[in-house]
Amino acid sequence: MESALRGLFIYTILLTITRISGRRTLAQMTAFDFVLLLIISEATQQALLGNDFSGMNAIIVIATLVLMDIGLSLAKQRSALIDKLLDGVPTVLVRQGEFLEDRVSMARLSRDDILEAARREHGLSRFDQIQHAVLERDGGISIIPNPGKTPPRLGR
Amino acid sequence: MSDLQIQDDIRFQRKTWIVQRVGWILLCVVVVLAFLGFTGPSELTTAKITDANLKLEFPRFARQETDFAVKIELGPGSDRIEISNELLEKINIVEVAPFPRAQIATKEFTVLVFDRDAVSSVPIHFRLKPLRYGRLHGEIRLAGGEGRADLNPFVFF
Repeated sequence: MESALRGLFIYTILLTITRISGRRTLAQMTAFDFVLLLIISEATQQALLGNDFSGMNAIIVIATLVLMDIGLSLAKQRSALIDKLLDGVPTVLVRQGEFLEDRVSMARLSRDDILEAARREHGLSRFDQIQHAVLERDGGISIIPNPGKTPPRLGR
Repeated sequence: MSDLQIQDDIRFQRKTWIVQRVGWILLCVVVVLAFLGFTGPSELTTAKITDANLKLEFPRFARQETDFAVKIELGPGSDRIEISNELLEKINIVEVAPFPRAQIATKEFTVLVFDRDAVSSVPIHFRLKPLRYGRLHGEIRLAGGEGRADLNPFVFF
């Protein structure tokens, strides 16, 4: 009983804190984030298992976590609101070439982050070559190039 | 509308940003409370109860399955303390120093008998481990009830 409660409690806390921290933390795996992830997983492991290192405790905790995950994915499927609450919504950062500064700032991003994604995804070199940029639910930035200003791609 | 087919919801996103910022403040509050000693044993939140014949020091906040220290000073002439069995059901006594020379179990209390010379000059130190979370309730008293104190830390999950 207590093992299941621990699993439930820790899952909820971790999910809440991850949502509070914002999507940027998820996608941008810097050295700092890597260290953070390692420390969080270690602290979580202790809190999940307590002093009980038995196989049965591990089974209960794993079963609870997997069931929570399945339950929430079913809930997301049925309710658009729960889906939004848990995974967020995509945010348009550049629309028809227009840089939406307030959104970029609130998402803790900069023009440089968008340019970096444009270079990485499409080999674009200038901002005016971007038609749309979207901050996706997983924290990544998608770029849709402006067809009129984009050089033809080699390869693919 | 643009040619971008996307299920965005900027009103929801703006609310999310506000909630996130409130969440950051709450995380700060948690850390500040931890520094101030409200999330576990700390010097800043140690309860000090003084009775005529008994002094008891214990943390107001403890954590489940994590030891905390309790200090008891007995008045002159006292050599035994009684701990309510109700309390002993919720905690483990991990360590007692000086070690009692005898233990007597009664219906409601467990009596620890110490060497009188030892406890007249130095306090008795306990290390206790709470087994449950929530408010602990337990009585510690001198033999015969001439001095008594409640040991009631709040135990976090």
